[in-house]
Amino acid sequence: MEFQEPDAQRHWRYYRLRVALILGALPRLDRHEIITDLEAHVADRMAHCTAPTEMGRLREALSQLGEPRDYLGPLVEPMLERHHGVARLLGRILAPLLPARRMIDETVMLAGNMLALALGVVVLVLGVGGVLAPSRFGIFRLGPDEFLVSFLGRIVPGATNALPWPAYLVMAAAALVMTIGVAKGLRRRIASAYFRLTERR
Amino acid sequence: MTANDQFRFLSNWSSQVRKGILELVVMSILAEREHYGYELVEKLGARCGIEVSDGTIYTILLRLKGEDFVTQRWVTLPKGPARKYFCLTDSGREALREMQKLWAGITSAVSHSGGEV
Repeated sequence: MEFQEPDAQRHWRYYRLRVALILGALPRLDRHEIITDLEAHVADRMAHCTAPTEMGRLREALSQLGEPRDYLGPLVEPMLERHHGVARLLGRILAPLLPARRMIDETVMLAGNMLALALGVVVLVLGVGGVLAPSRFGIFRLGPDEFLVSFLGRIVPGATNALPWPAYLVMAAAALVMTIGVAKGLRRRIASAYFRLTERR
Repeated sequence: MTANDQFRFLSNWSSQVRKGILELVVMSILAEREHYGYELVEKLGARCGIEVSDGTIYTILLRLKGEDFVTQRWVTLPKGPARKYFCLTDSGREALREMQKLWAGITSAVSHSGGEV
């Protein structure tokens, strides 16, 4: 959705960002569909608004639409409550012990997601590097029991790459899958945190 | 209870009742013919006196779509933005009939529940 007036463009981007943050827990296709629908609705509403400027019409249309949290909340709230695998197990174990379970659960998951994302990126770089530049990236054998993990480093003479390139390819593929999965989880956690931060007290 | 308190109570109560029947009203309007979002909001205000935000209607339409009670189609206009029209499906019509029966039962029960004041 494009606007002629820079102010209107900025205002719409900001509103859209808030919508995207709220929708972070939904699958990509659903998010895309809702945003496309909203754009069409706002454009249609603006066509019926009487304000002389584009910004005025946009403000009018968005005030008719309301706060994203208020009208999208009922759609996304059930998704935010879902925890999978380890998070659910951890939640169940901690439930009777900790009164602030939810907050701790969220924090632990957020930290876990970020750590896993960082690890995924590191392994991905190592895997891709091991395929494309095996002399500088990878796990190197320095001696009978001595190994070195190198990222574009200067390898000592005589050191050999401990793994063949197909192993790095598998490593990169696995890291890519893991990183995408973790990034999705992280997006959901951020949406959840944003949702709770914007909760009206 | 002051007149002000009474007014506030009645206005809250009226708003709750209207919100409660919003899905029924939206489905009844869609049963006549397909509508797009803005048109639906306008009709709700003009015909039923229900003032709701566009977002509320939008959420209801999404929920009805999730239940397969409505379908949607994009219509490109020669002038202006494309519009998404919503239309009641067969299962939506079936659900609407049941909802109307329930509503008729509720209104009948309410009108027979006490005497005139």
